[in-house]
Amino acid sequence: MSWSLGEIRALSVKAARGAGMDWGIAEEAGFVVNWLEAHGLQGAKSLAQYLYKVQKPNGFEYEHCPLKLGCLISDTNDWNELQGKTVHEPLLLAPFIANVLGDESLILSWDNNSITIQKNGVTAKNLNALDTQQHVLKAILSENTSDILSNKTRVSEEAEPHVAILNTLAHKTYAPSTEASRLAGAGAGLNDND
Amino acid sequence: MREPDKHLSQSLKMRPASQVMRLKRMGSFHQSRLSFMRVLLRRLKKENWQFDRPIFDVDDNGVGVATYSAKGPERTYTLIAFAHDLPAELRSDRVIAEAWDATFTLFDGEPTKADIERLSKNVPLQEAGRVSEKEISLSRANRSVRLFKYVSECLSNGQQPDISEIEKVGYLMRTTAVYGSAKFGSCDRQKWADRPEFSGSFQPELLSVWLIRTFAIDMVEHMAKVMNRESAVALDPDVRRQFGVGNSTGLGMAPFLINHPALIHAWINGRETAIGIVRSLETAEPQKIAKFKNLVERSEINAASWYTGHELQKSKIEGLCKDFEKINSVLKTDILNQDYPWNSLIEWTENNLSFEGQEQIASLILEPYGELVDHMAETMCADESDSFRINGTMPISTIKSILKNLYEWTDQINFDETTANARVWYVSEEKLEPRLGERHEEPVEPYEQPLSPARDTVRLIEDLQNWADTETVATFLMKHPEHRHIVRRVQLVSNKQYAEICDNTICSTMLPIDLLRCKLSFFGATKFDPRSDRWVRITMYQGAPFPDEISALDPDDLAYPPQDSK
Repeated sequence: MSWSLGEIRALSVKAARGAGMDWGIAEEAGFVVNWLEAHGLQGAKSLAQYLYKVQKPNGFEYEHCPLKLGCLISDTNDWNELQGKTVHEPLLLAPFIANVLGDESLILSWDNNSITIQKNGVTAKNLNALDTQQHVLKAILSENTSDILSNKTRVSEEAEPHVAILNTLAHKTYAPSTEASRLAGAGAGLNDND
Repeated sequence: MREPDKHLSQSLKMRPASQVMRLKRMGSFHQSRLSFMRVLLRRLKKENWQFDRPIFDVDDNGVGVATYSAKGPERTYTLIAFAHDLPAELRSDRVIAEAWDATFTLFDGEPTKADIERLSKNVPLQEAGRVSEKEISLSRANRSVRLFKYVSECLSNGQQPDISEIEKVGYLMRTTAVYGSAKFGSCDRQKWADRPEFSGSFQPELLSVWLIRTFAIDMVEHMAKVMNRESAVALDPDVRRQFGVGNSTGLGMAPFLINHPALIHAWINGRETAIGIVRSLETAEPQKIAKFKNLVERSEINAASWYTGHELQKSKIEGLCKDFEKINSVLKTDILNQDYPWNSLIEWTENNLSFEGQEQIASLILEPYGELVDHMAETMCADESDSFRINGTMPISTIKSILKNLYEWTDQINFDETTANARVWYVSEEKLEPRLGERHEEPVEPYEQPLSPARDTVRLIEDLQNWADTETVATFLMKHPEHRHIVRRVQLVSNKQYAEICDNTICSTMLPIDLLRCKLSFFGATKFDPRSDRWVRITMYQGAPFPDEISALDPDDLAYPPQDSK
């Protein structure tokens, strides 16, 4: 059975945190996956692939990180920041770019791929299977189009194996349970029945 | 928001956040006419909603399915209830439980047989099952074994149960979790956020609970009939109304108030604005005073019948009962005949009553003035996605000044002290239950959740010290991604005075039940009964009308015990 967008958002935050990201960036990961899935792209897959690749048990290294670059674009309100930069999983930049666009659209390309991003959605044709490489980005402005992917209210069914990866990473944010914490931490220990 | 009416004075007297947003006070909040259960029942009555029970297919062992439909002007919702035969040893209110006496979902529309079949395989599993976009909430309840047995036996013998026995518990079933939007595959809030019947907060969840109350009554009457078909009787309406729905709320709900600052601001601001509106009235008409005095008397009855075994809450209730003595004396004076009578009364409470008493009166002065304050209910919600994006172009000078204005109270806390930094909020891998650990005694710090705005702002202020005022937040966050979470929060709360709890949420003396009490009072709960410093039993909808009588009764009046029940 399918996943809700709110659910994948919450899971993505935990997974990014589990991979070692700071909480504030992890929250952006939730925003990104929610946005991509809602606009017809496989956000859960992109995030899972990226995090799986770069997870660090102690302290996250943000080198070539699409989320950190996305934050910079969104924070400075300037997509030019991405020109010529090298990142993993460029698809994860799309929601940040949409944040800063006005009435125009932006064509983001790397290697042989390109997507067109505008405020209310994306067009992505023939995206190659994503790989483990980093990619050099190119961006040019373009006219808006009505030819965007249709909006979705649920996470795509294809996300399932990637959700499993996100779950594994999210699990790293949970403290192992002990009998002591079960009683003290939750404040139980009294009889529930009456 | 509507402008205050012309017969109100110019400016509203709003209590400042430094007074309101303290845990000790928040832990003494009382329900009011803006509480979400009352908002819901007013709407159901006003819009003349129709209720039905299309299916009641429960066997002699109390196992089966029942559906309860609520039909409004535009849409129908259906509570689907699965009744189970739960062995006593499995009955637990803890979130780690895996079986319950009954499980529920609120369905968006009228379910088909196939829907019920699908849900019968998932809803009883709760967290381990999956629901769909057609379902809005997921919940479960356990019986109060003692009261359920007593009531079913009375009814089977043709007798009504004793009110005094009902009072000891207050409910036949208590919910142990009511999950809302998006959880376990249920529909996202966006799907129904624009529906007028759900404007405000937690309306679908509270509709579920209100219908669960009817299901609990139907179950006890059904079991009485099973015991003796010849002599069994139904509950008398006046007796029946004494049953609310119980609820056990643990730590899971406590982080909510910290995680949703925009929403908390909307709630507190709604109530505080309403209090401000009434305080700004120049005079009070005799019938308004009479209504207020009547409800003071009935609240006193409520306080007198409020039972808890928790020492701290016990002493708070004793204080509240003493407060009522003082209130009764002051109401014999001409305090309500002076200019700005309600303002005088509130100021008097601040100098003379405990927090319990002060907050009781603050809620009660709203009661006679529904026509002036009820519209505030529509403002008591928030779409937090609106304020998610950080404004990185903000100069450092601006964020420094927001911190100075809103977080000066953190100067008083020294986080180098063990007691100030004593706790860690974390999530346990066991059913993902939120817990509170001891930082200096347990190995839980690596799992800490960002639920300490006070400490995080102190750290932010320290790191901002050496940054020039003309630099931007974007540049700062590139250097300090670890502050991104708290910077987002500080920007979000900058124009919301009640968004932040002005207390240290990881202090050794912090009581999670204060957070729970605040939230549950906004729901409309009564009879708070803490079972430790971190979980609480409450009663919901006690005294409220049932679906078959709501058109004939006034739900607002029934929020207080009847006068003759002393």
